[in-house]
Amino acid sequence: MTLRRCLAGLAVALVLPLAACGGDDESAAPGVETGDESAAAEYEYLIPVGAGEALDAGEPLEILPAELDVRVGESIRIVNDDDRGHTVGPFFIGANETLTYRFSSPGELVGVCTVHPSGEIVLTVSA
Amino acid sequence: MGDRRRVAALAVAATLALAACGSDEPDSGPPTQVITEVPSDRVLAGVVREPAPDVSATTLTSYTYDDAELEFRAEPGELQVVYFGYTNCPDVCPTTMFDHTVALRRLPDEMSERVETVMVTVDPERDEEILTDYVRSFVPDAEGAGTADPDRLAAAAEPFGATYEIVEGPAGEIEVSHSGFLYAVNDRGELVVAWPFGTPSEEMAADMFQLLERGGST
Repeated sequence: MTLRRCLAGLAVALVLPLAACGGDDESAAPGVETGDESAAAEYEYLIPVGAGEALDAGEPLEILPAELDVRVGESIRIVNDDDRGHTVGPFFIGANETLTYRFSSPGELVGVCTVHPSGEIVLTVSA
Repeated sequence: MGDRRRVAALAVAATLALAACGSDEPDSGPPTQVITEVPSDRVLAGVVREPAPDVSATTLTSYTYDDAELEFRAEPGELQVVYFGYTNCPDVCPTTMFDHTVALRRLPDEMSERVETVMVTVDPERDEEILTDYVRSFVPDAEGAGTADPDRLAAAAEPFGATYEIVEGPAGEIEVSHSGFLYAVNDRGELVVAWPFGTPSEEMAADMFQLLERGGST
């Protein structure tokens, strides 16, 4: 399964701009902040509400591809709107969290994916 | 193969696959270049989760400071870098800790002094007595922590997203699988960035520089 085919089939999972991220910080106390990480990412996915339950029920929900090929310097963003945390390869995204990561080194990762029917994802990062 | 075993196998596969990513070169070349600035529009190299998870709810026992309670929260204006691993780890843990030491060396002294390094053992039965010496062989003022209570350890690891499993093999050998992230926690007890195994030390250093610069001194 190629990445492009997967992406085409997952248009519904594409993420809208994350204007709301980090907007509810009630504290102005000094601290170490991550700043604005909301720049566009090359790979954006949305885990919708109820995704975990749907997969538990055996629905053929495929939110991320089973194989994802990316390049160093590219970024991935996963928005988890579900009410449970999910694992995508090396990444854990808590309920109602957004994860952003820029790939910095080449390699291949085979890991658990709780939002794919196969239960795993192969993530290949090329130089 | 049960789910837990399968997860462990996948984690091991992930670890081995990522090990191929390599790491920083041994410190045998020219002196490590110290970072003096990062671009104002630089994006953090590590994994960022928003809103930043609160990792401060559970404390662990310090194996370094007379069984004091270790809180996952940096001192004001500082960073706490946390790693979940074990001392018998043959590859990922020592490599990660070494990369971390190189990253610290890339920071100006006044910044590296504002980074507290903590290693939490996922193998407390074997590590309690030796963890401090182990982690301090990498970072001289680092702290070791853990707990013999598996539920407490799980509660501490969960908000980080850290995973681990200890399995006893048929011959009684201990097999440990674990995630290989370094986690940076701010002074509000929030996980601000996580670096996967294999993240270049210069990227981790630049992230710490960027975060500490934004945090300022208090």
